[in-house]
Amino acid sequence: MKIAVMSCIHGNYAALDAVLLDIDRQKAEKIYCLGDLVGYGPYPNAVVEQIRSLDIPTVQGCWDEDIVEGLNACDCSYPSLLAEKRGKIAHEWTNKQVNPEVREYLAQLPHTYKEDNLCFVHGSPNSNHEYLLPEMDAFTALERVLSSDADLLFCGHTHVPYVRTLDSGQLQVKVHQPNQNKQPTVSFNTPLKRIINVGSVGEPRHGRPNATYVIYDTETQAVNLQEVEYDYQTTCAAILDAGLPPIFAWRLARGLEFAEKADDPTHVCER
Amino acid sequence: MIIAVASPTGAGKTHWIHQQITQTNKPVGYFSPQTDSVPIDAIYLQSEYPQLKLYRAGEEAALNNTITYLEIPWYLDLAGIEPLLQTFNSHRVAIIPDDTDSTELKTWADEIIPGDCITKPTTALQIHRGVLTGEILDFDSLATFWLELTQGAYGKVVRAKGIFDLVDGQIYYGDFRFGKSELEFKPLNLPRWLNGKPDRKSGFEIVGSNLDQAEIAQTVRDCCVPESAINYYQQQVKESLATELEVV
Amino acid sequence: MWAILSGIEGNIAAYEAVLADINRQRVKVEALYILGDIIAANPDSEKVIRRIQNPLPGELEPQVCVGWWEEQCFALHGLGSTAEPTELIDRFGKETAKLLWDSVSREIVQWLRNCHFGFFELDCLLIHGSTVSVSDELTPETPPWQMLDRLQRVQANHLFCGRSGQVFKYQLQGGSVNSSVMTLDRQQPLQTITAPKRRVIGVGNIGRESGKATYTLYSPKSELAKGEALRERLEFKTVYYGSKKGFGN
Repeated sequence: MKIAVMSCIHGNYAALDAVLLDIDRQKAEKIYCLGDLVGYGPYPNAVVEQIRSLDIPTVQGCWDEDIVEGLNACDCSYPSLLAEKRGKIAHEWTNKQVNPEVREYLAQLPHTYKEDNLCFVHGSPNSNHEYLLPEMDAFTALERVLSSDADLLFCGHTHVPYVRTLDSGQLQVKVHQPNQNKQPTVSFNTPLKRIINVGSVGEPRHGRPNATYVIYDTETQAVNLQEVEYDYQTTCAAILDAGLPPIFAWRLARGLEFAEKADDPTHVCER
Repeated sequence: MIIAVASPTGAGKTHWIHQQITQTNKPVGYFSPQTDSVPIDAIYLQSEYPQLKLYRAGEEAALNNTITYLEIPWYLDLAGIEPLLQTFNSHRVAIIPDDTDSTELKTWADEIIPGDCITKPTTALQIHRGVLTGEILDFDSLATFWLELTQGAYGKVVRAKGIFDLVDGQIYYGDFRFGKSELEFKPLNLPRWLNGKPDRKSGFEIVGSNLDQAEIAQTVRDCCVPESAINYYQQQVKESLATELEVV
Repeated sequence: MWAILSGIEGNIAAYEAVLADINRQRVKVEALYILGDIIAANPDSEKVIRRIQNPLPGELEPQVCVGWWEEQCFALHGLGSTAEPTELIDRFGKETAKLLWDSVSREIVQWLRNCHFGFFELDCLLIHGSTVSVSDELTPETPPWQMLDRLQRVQANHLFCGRSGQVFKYQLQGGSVNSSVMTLDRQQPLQTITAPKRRVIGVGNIGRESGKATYTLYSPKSELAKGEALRERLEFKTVYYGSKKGFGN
């Protein structure tokens, strides 16, 4: 069975529409969504309504959570003062726009969703703020998949898609406890694990304006990173019409994320 | 002795003066009319040559005390500067790119030097200047803004340069010319400022067309560290500098 | 040499017995670390705090970081990272929460608030739970991937922790994993990453089991003046004290 997984739509309805059309063309039987339905983009309500009407299993992203619980991000999750300022403008705008049913829907989204050997999260199994970047230490990455108790971990949040294969993981351990016989060295092994980052539908940062998502075939286990062209100028115009900062439109048209990512990707705010 | 240097924007006046200074042992001075509010080139040159004598507006009478390079900004009228040049024994240098036909400069000059090729503007150029003296900027914010600026987010930019006091206490020099791929951004060889608001000059100058001046000004403001947080950041820098010293 | 303790849990007799044991050591103990859980739902909690605040002449000044019980106490007082002391109530019930509230005054809570989250000394991290939280319980049964993650979060070679209350030495002796990344534009070649040799040490518990306390002595590898290296030393100590309740009855 072919499944489609997408993430980080960020109120970009035109991009979502194009991706749904492409999913149809790829004949995927089921769709999953990894959150951040709202924030930055001009159509938060329409995006949520579309996801709901299609009954797409969805987890909660950090933006969805902030809209429900109030802006909770600490300074450290913004890489710069400028990014923080822009993030706050986007948050306030979105907060005024979303209607009560949308807020209610976002509030009940789970942090993780599991099906068979697949796990779906926004950031990482630990937190929807943690970035699983492709250059993350391989053992740390492996630990994140193992902690999800799945073979495939689907995530988003970084807005750049990738597939990371972690194979033949092994660690040797020797445990010593007083009053116990000497323990031999034990070897732990892991089977093949994969992290699949599905990129971003509505706010790509791979250098082109195109939307990205992933098609996964549960039988052949093949992963396809899909890149979909759409009329991003429609969204750019809507950003300006909505009174959102014009720089959002400029960055969207260039495949630059609106706000740069934090320096320390594993940092998780304790607040 | 006055060496007056003129050229179109971005053709390399400061760069040429920089080269000349390295080749002499005699006392050298520098004066650039109408740049006192944001003396970017003057501060840059002095960070490279601490002994360089900088002249300000009002000190014109003393220009002859050194070999003085008089950098004439491209937007100044040559006729306006003429009386000053007449007062002294001056040598006139024009830096003219090969692809530029500049009759006025050619007639004016005693010596013509080929300059960096520049993109000829199709529309009239505007200048947007911002004084940032007293402000401290956040490095990552500035990097984002500078990238957006030079890639055209706030209008077409042919030249941008600036000096910025950053959170680490250093003053940075940024220089961008349209069509040149290397983006210069480096700390100047000047003392770190770690005690409150800096009272040395900083700011920027952007030359281009269709510049969204209001957006530029707002974005630069958003890059500035709030006054209430300056002390906190400076304390952190001091602590980390102290640890570095211990390690060494 | 360092003495590393955790989990006094308001047991003043146990703490006194351990202090006496530290004092008896032939090699001089130069630093005393207490990795949290000084207090518990125990009316003697304040006595332990006073004892820590006021070392006797010649005794070391203990260096204290917060533990699970302190964090529950902060939550009770509305000062914690969570709004409600849910973890405490889920595990021990409301009566214990009440007892903890009664055992620790506001003034003591303020003092505890000023304690560290952990200590980083040389290449060692000393902390109550782990780099993740005070509730993170590392035991001899914890999967090695998780152990390595906790170590790598702070780039420590040795992690000393106390949440489990057990004494153990968990050595990661090496390992490897093959990793490859495919992006939109390219396929990165396969890389084999090797795991560093690192260690997690459970430092024991002072007060939970009546009559028996466990703690850890550690001296890091060090260079002597003559250029010879002093070998690292790690020793688990068990101290029996008072009426040995729980033994033979």
